[in-house]
Amino acid sequence: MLKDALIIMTKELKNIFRDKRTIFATIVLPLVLFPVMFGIIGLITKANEEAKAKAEYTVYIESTLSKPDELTKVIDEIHGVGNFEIINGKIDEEVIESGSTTVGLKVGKNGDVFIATVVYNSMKEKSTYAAQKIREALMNLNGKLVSAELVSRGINPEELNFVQINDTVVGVSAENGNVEEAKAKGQFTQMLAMLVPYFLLLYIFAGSMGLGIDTTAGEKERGSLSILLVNQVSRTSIALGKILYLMLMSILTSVLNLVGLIIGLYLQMSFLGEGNMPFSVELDAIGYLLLFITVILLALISSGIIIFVGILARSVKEASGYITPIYMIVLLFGISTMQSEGSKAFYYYAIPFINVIFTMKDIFIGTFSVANFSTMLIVNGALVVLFVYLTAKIFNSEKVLEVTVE
Amino acid sequence: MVQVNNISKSFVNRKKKRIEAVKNVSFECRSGEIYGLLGPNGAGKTTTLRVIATLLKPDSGSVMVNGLDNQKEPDKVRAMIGFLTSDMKVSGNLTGREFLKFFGQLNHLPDEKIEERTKMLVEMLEMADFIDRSPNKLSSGMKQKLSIAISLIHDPQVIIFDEPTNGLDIFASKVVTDFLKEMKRQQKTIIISTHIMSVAEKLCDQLGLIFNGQLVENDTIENILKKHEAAEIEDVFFAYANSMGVIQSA
Ligand SMILES: Nc1ncnc2c1ncn2[C@@H]1O[C@H](COP(=O)(O)OP(=O)(O)OP(=O)(O)O)[C@@H](O)[C@H]1O
Ligand SMILES: [Mg+2]
Repeated sequence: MLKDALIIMTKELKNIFRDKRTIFATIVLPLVLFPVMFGIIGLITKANEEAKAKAEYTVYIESTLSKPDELTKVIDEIHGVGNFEIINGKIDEEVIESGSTTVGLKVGKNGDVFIATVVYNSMKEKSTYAAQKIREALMNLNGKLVSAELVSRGINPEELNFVQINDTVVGVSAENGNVEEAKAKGQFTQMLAMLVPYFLLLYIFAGSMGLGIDTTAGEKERGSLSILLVNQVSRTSIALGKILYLMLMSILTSVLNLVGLIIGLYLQMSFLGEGNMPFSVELDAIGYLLLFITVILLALISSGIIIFVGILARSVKEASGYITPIYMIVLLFGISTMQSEGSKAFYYYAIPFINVIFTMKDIFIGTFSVANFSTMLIVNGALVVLFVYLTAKIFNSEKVLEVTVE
Repeated sequence: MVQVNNISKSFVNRKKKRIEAVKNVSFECRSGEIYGLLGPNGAGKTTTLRVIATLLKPDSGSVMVNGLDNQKEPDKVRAMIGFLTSDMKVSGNLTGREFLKFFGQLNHLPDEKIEERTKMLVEMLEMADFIDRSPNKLSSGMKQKLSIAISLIHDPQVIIFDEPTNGLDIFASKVVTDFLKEMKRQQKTIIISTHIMSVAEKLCDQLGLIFNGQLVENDTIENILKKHEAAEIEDVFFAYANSMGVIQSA
């Protein structure tokens, strides 16, 4: 039985990789699309930030300060944070509204306290940016004034801390016990535990939907399925062969998509100067093996469902109609569990798809339990057997000959 | 040998109407014989052949293929049958040769045997020019020849072809009919369906005339002509069509 299934699987793979468009769509596109997409977003964002920093701004200052050196202090701080041309005088709000790089500052004093009002157009990116910079300048001034005041009272500002906090990060190893590195690694693992199961779910299902429908309902429509059915090969082998084929393709597409996504995100972060994210996972060989088994089960289940539905349907159109709502439900499972962490109640591991997500989270975060994993294994394994059985059953029934091409 | 014993098959269509596609059909085809099912469109030819080939289960009646009940041992029966209908179409990116190899493997033939069969079928069906092309790039006649070759890769004893010359030009038709004659010489049991009188007359030893799911004649061509005092099968055909009121629906 398995031998025939493998013959069918091999034939399907051979068939699909003869098609240049498929190769492009399943292999080249994910590896190129995400990096290019995120790269471009990164580049645009970076260019935008640089343009904002480089641009020349005009600040209108309406001052009621009595001492000229106080205004000079404010102006010095503003020069310190960016490229500002300063115009003293009354603020005309219309001028600020119509200009793109203009901002206003009303400044006066109440006793020892500077009272400042920043006037800007919040609909304009550069005006907003300039206002932000002016605030920064004023905070710098505040810092200097506080320090000066403390010093004048004979207090060293450096000595003003009465609580000092140190972190010890556990669960993550870092070289020489480097805390910052360990923290970053932990955050990265958290991110992986959140995103990887979700995206795998997404890609494994979505990536194999089209191929799965084509190899079932599509073959029905083309009339090539019945050629297989009149041969002596058992229907269980046909079902299994097609499911195995789809499983391999879905794993391939999802892994490639994931790799493309990670490269893309990395590219984007490095353009934005955040490229020093640690790129490491705290997984040992057993962890990877468990992850691999989980991914295979996920791919087997979704392939089983897709092949079953595709065989049940009388046309490609009908099959797509059935699969889309199933996909929505799976998607909902993914979104609703994205934020939660691993090690949930036992029964979560009895729900297909959800159990896979939690198992993956467990593996990443280190909350893995043999009992939960076994539940996931048994439930999903049983479902795969069920879908192979049901698919073979439809192959055996006359239903499989019913074709409607609209 | 194939024995069809009193089979009936009905379908329920989309509008919940029951269609009796085949009604109490019985006939027999011995090895070294070609049996022809001749009937108008919708008469029940394809349905009958599908029941024989185990793709449909009859509502009643049975089919014995070389002594095996095709409902009790469908896998063994399938192994003995080469079956082809006009709605079975090869498609995909593999070449014809690769398709033959694939189906040979599924029939558990050793590689040498597959190569030998491929060589023979390519020669007999005159497919050398296009056997290394994929079906997507073939004409419908070429595809039909390839489909025939695929259905016979395992050298089955029983050949069941539904309108084998459908869509073929006279050259390709001749190749196929000559091929069937050769199969007959090799003592195969052959059942074909057709609505082309000349094919039936030239090829078949026994003829079953089928109208509205009923087998109205089941004899040698000679006997049928004698019984109706007719010169050609066409005359008999039209006489039945008239009397059964199917001429307009055909
Ligand atoms: N799967 C099916 N569901 C419903 N009705 C069917 C089905 N298959 C066949 N029929 C009906 O059964 C009858 C016989 O069909 P069949 O295909 O056997 O005719 P045929 O003799 O092969 O005709 P043709 O020469 O057009 O191929 C037709 O009325 C057809 O509509
Ligand atoms: Mg027909």
